[in-house]
Amino acid sequence: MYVLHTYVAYLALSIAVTVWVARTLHHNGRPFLVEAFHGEESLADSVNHLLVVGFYLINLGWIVMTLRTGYQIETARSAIELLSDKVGTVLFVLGLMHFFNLFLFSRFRRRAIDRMPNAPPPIPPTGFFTPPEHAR
Amino acid sequence: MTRLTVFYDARCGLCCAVRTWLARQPQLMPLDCRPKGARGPANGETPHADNDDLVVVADSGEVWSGDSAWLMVLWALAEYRSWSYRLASPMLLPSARALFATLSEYRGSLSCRLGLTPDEH
Repeated sequence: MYVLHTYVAYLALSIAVTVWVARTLHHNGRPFLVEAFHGEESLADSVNHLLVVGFYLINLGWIVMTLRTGYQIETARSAIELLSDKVGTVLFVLGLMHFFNLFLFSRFRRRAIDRMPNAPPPIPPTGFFTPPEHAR
Repeated sequence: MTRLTVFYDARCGLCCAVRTWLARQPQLMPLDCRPKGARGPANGETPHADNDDLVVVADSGEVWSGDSAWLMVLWALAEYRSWSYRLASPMLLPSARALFATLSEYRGSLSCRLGLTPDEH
């Protein structure tokens, strides 16, 4: 009987956390993407949505895939231990995915900044050139 | 700064091939390629014409020569700007300088081996 309870609690907790992280990403990642796409909001929203869909697919897939357990659960203690084991793994994977998404956001933003016309040269000039008087 | 002029060695086949390639690349900063010894920006003379390095001159007067000039050419290209920053980082700059110096030094023999002939003989 404990197994069923553990499964239900695992699914409820993991899915709730996934939804919370995805919503946070969706909400707070938007300004990054808008900047990365030079203020084109519709494009940024579209990329944002696609990223969140990918995030949901990977995380929910992971949650469902790791649901099964081979442990014999006979006491409440072992049920809670198993639950914390499983939820802990899900939180860890969510954390990795979250940082990966942040990395993508910052890369998009970095690329956008690099491509601005006023981006600074990578290296200071080695000298200055003033055209000779007669050539002006 | 709105344009960069690249002074290259027109006697070198590799340099001429690179110039043709540059013209096809999307540029964030427009590049004008001129053979060394040709007349420079603002109808002046080629700056630093006495030394053998690649030279890049901005229309605002800044000059980059040698390995810095290579980095500036990368910086001007849309696809390679991020590489120019990466190669200019303190960790990679010494290796990048060594690579550019080697390429420059052996450009003659490299051109021969690759069968690249200069535009003018």
